Amino acid sequence: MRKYNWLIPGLLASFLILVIITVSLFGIIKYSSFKLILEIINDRYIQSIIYFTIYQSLISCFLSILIALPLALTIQKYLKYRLVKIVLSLAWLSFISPVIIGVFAIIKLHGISGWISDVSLFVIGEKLEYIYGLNGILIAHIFFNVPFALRMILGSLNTIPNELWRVAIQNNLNRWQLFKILEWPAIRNNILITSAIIFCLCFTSFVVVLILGGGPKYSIIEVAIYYALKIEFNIDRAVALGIIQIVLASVLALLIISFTKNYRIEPYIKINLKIPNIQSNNYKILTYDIFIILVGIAVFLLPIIALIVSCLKVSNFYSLIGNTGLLNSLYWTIILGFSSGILSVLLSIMLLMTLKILILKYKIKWLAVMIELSGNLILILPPILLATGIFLSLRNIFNIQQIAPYVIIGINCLTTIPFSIRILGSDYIRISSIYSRLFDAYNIRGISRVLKYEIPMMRSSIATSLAISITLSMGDLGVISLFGSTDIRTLPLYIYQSLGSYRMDNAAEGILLLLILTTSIIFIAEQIFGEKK
Amino acid sequence: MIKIQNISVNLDAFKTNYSLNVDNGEWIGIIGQSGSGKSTLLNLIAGFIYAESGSIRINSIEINSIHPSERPVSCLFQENNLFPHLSVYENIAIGISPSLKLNAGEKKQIQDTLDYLNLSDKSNSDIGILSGGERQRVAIGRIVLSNKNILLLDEPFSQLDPNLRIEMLNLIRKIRDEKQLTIIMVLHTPIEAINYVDRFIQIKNGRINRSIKPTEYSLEIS
Amino acid sequence: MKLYIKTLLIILVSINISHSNEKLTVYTYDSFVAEWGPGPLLEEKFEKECNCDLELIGLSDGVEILTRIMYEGKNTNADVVLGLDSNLLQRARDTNLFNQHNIDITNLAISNRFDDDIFVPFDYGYFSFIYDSTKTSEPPKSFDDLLQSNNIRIIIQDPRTSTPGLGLLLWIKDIYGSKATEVWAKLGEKIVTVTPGWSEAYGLFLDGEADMVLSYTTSPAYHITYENDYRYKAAHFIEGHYEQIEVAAKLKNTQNDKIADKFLKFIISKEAQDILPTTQWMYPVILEADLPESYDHLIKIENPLRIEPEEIFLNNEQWIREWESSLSN
Repeated sequence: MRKYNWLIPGLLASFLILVIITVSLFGIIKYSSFKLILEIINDRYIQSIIYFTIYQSLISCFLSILIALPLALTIQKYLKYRLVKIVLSLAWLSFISPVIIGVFAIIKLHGISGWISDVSLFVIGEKLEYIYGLNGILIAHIFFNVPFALRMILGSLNTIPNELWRVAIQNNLNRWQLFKILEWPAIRNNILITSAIIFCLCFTSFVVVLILGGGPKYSIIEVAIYYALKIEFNIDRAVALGIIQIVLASVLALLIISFTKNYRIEPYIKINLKIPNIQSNNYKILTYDIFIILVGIAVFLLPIIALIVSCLKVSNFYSLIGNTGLLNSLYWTIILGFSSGILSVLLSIMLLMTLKILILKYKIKWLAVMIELSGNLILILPPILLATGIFLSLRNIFNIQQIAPYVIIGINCLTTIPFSIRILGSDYIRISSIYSRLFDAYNIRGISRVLKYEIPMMRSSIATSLAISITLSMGDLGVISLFGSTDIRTLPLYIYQSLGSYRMDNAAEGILLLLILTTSIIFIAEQIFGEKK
Repeated sequence: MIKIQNISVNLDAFKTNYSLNVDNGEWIGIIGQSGSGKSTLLNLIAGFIYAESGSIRINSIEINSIHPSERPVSCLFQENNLFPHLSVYENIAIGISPSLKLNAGEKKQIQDTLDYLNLSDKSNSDIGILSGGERQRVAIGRIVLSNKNILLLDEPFSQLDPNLRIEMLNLIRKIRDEKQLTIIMVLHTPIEAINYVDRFIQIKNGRINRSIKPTEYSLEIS
Repeated sequence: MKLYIKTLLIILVSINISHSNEKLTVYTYDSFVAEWGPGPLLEEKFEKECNCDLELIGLSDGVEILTRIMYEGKNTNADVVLGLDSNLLQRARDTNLFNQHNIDITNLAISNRFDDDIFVPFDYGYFSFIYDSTKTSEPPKSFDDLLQSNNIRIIIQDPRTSTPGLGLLLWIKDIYGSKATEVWAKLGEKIVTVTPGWSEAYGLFLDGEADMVLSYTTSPAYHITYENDYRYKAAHFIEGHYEQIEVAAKLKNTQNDKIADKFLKFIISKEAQDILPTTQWMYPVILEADLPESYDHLIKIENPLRIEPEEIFLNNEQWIREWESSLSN
């Protein structure tokens, strides 16, 4: 029986995840109706929504990769510079920020009265309006997802052995050949899986489409679900739409993934690549590289800088000290965020403990796929339905006010697991395969192996993964609006409530505080616990 | 005395079938083309792979189904012999106690080993700052400490420069003499091993082709 | 870790302890219970008066209140709901979950147009487009004006997800009747974007993304009172402005009927109503309530527009569909 011990953590973690999802489904499953689904699919308006949902997700995902790829290929050469490492850490901000804040940041840069428009006003005397419509949706999705794609691609590039680089250079491969022969095979699988994830994120991207879409012309399935649930009070319809969404998202995501070659958990980066200088003192290349990096920064950092500047103008720091509401929100943000984040990394490690053995030792593909899938399942579930489902299931058993913190922690944890797995996965597998014989030779096994050997050796991936899970959870606005209360309020909720009461200055302070908090966490994790050598 | 009979495991290209007898104290070099199954033989003896059929007996005890940590075998690999998050001291200490809980006697043993290998001044060092040769020496220190009498070497010095390689082989020989080790070694450059091994065995397609004396081998390759 | 567990336990325990007094649970919306909303003050005053425990539960918005009650059905914990929008009254009535109040609401500012045996109004307001007078020197004086103008850009809310959005829909319906689709098509050219809620729209307007935003005639009062800023004004339309009345009601299944009654009476008492203008930024329903000085600068609406709840209920879906297709081209 001891032989099967390694299965336990993964199955246990999968089980916990599936329990939460099942509890949610349980609340809404009785509302599902095949007949209704058929009816809805035949509705022309719904058909146009479905078409647009797929269309904008595919394009957003494609553009995100299109931008992230050259950026990654360029940045990989400069990873030894502190400044570049700092920029990469800051890049996470757009990924983890609450969506509403990200949208405001975009508008502060690209909006009609945004920085770019102001420049245009100065130069050609006219304001620019390009952000409300499909353009805005795409720009926003790129803003949110490029950093994630960037880090994933950099991670794969990191797995190319230095020796291969030297061989390539010695053989005088030109840039295209380098890419085709050396870099592409290493990143191919990871790009596909990352695309699938970004696709799913854009598929359910409710707030962006609503605010930047400009009107009902651009609507996605999630909006229709929201409307059915909240305004029409039609759970049947919401569930039917939800099922359609889940099926579509899974089919398309799996389609994208089917192009991957071998089943592996794909790499993520710690920032420590040692590429020998490919080009020496070639100023033309250097200029080109700097240009690309600046474009990258403009994509994911400039909006945030615009937002910060705008918030600084509006806020009034004296009020920060006496503002108990703000401090209370800060407190809950930290408590709930850290709890979800730590739990998420814990569950991810448990899943990986089993997955790595399945992959490395037994090569049992189907079970590995199922376990990894359970971690990623959350990506295709409509968030509103998930939260509503849990609410409906539990309200008869528990007092919602009392279990609210646990529900918030649970759902946020679930939402961040796919990313923890991605960030930790390849590192864990790499370490397991490199040191497996040493572990066997000295009988280093079980919990002691995980705690004393594997985790310390994965220190920096764990640090980043914790930072991302924690900050992602802190940025949630969806779950907290359903389950929060006057006592339990996080910063995003505080910000949104302030906005809803004319209190722009309070909102600005909340935004600044949240940015300071999340940036600190990411910095401490990546720059301090980051690379040793 | 190691007695290997028809040890078989399925590799991608072929199925192995090794039969081999090794006397106590012998130093055997394994030669053969890459992909012929040299490392596989070592992995089988060490226990990192379990044979599908056949038997391995060490001093008449069947060890085929015994866990690697319980076999009287220690290994030195080409690289990644050391844990990067542990210091030199701790890496060596694993040889006695993987949980790193040591009593006074054990601590003395570790210190002696450090002295023996001229590593005392680097005792608390981070592995990262050591040179390739120093790292292998630390690994050798652990092996010495773990006091097992069969040593398997899998191209352990191929990353080092030629002079250092000779130095390392000399060190191995010194330890072998003092502790009466039985050594089975896969070496990248078998020529260098001529002065050290008692005999070579050649592996081809998962089978042991022949056994050959060093002098014969040096004649063959000249 | 320990501190965190302790904190969580303390919260859980304290939630339980509050069952000791008689408790009235009121569902309302977020901005009501926020520290700058009327909630905290009202809670303080009412608890003193009734010698009981008032629990205000803030849901995301007025629509959510009704949704939550509908989902909870008979098992709801709520005794009273506070903050339903008058446009949803028919739907609320149809749930059959609310009980008649026994309160005299005949002497209120809106009694000439609002009377109901179940729903007690506690504040009201008028929708209007707000503009920045330093940037827009000649605001439209009517809806027609707005439709004819060439250089006004507006931000509005989605009627499917927000009450002001729905308000605008009904406003246009009331004025233009069957011509509403053409009006929307024309208005569509001027719309910068349609946001899910009021907050985003107003925020974007303040950021300069549009010349006008759909909000309430009382919005400028906030800026005058708290920022001493007089530049935001409401555009006064001669066709009239659509009215929003917010109501409260008592649940049939409440265990605390007497206190619920007390509460309903309380919110239209002068004590409570005085608090509303500078926290809710809506008009109090009783005539005797004090209004802050900033309200003097607001436009006065003589002809409030309103569509009957039954009519809204019957046509809601169709009107929304019309809206969707007008703006989807």
